[in-house]
Amino acid sequence: MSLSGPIRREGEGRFALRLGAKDREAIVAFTAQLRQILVNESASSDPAVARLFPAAHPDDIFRNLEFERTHAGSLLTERLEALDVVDRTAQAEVLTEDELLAWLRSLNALRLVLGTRLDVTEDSTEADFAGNDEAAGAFDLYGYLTWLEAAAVEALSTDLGDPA
Amino acid sequence: MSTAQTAPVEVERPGSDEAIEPDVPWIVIVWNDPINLMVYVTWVFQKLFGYPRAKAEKLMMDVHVKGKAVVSNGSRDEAERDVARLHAYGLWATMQQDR
Repeated sequence: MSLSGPIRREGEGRFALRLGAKDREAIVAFTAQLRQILVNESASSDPAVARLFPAAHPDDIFRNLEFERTHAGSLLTERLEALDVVDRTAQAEVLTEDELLAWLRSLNALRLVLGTRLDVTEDSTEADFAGNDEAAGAFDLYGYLTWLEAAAVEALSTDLGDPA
Repeated sequence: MSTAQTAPVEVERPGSDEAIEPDVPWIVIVWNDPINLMVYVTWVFQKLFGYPRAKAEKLMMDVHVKGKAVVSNGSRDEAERDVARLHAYGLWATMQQDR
């Protein structure tokens, strides 16, 4: 377990969040972008949204429509609420477990969007995006979000008992 | 998979002309994707299903190496609930009847 990572369990349901001002600013900018995508795009207009809301019944259009009728609204609402929590706690030094879960889900959603846009593979490296400044910048952000998400998982995993 | 499933008991219904749709259970499948982190997928299986670390890791490795794993099963409603919870955490989950 890292003692110097960006997210660290401090006690029962309390997590220290150690991020610089620029990182926090960037995260708020990311959540604004993701909110725009969630509100304005759909699975048919944007592959990244399709990745966030995959078909439950890929081979049965009618069952899938029923699934969407039942679940799509609350899934979208939950995603937007998680982004609200990140915005509200962007400057916090300490997060509750529920707040960290909202961070984790939002970081993961951002990685899914960026990774889908970049069409990353498990073996993608910086070299794959050299020569395209925009893609290279996006892959940098993707790497940053990966680092932060891994820290969030590590901090949360310390409480699940049954350690490895 | 290590999730034991009891086969539904066939009940005789004398006098009924209707063809009874067999109560075939549904399985929830998580598919591999290049974005979700291995440690994250393991954590989600522990968090959502209460699986011990070792079982969650085995399922994650099945997803990673074999391309997919059956992570839960139950009635259609139960499976849909699990799929929705997995989607909420960004995992690529689908469901089908276990015929």
